Amino acid sequence: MSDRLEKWAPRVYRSALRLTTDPHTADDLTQETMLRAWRRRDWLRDPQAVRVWLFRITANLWRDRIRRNRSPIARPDPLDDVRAAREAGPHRQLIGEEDLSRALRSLDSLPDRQRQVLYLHACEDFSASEIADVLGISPEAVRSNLSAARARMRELLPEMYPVTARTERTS
Amino acid sequence: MIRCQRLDDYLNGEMIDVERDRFEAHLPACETCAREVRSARTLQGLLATANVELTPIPVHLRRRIHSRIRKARTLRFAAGAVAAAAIAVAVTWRLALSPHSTDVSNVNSARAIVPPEVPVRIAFPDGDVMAVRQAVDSKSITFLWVYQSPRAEDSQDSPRRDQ
Repeated sequence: MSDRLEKWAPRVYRSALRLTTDPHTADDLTQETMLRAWRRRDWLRDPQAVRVWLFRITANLWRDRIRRNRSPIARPDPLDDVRAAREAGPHRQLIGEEDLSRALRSLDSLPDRQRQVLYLHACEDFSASEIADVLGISPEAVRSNLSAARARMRELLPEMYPVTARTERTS
Repeated sequence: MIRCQRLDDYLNGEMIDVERDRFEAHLPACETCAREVRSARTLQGLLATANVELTPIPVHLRRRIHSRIRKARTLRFAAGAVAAAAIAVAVTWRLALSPHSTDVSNVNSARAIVPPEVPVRIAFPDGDVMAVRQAVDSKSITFLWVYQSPRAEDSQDSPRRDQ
């Protein structure tokens, strides 16, 4: 069981990092999430519910920490810390290393809620209702934050929307 | 126009299959929606790739998680074994204090509960424990071998193998 649970650790870590934007806090949150999940592993009967359940644990732990003021305010750019650990991948040559870095930097520069909802939607493929469940906010709040996050990302990364830019120039 | 108003529902993954098919069918005729969808997909692909490639889980964190789960499992097993032993002691104590403890019928009933060398599964919320009564020449003392049930671990995992 623990092996099957531990395979989720990378995704939980990435989620925690985008939630907190701090690698050290993300490290702690990931450990606590995985341990809590293992202790309640009997709840993992439904494979479809696992990811929502895990990310909800992470989000709840993060909310608890904020309430107790145990974590510092999120730093603006954690990418320098994690960049050193990255590995070469086939997509990098297609998209470009700098594009990927800029995309994540732009994501991390968004306001907390926008960053969290866009991350869960774009990177974890969660629906709005699932994001609402994970973050404990209303679906309406998810939708409005998603729209705002998309609009802001378009401003931050105009050259990464070649289709949009070309269309707008010709229209 | 009505379908364009549902652009956000489409982008947010809030359409059922029929609605999604209908929306996608109108995209070739609606440049505004098609552009928004392409942009959203571009952004999604970029972020998803960047997220996986630039944010690997640190090796030390993997090891620490594995270690903490293994330690938690050991503690749980120890707690289960202690609980099983406590039950065995309690049963034995009760038989010893019984005014009819030397009756053959009582001894037989005790053996019926825990026959010698036949493993008995004792269920706990955190995992089953197996107990085997060892044959000893005493009517008031029962020795039990208590160990973690390997099949209990398997049976817990079996419904999740399709993950």
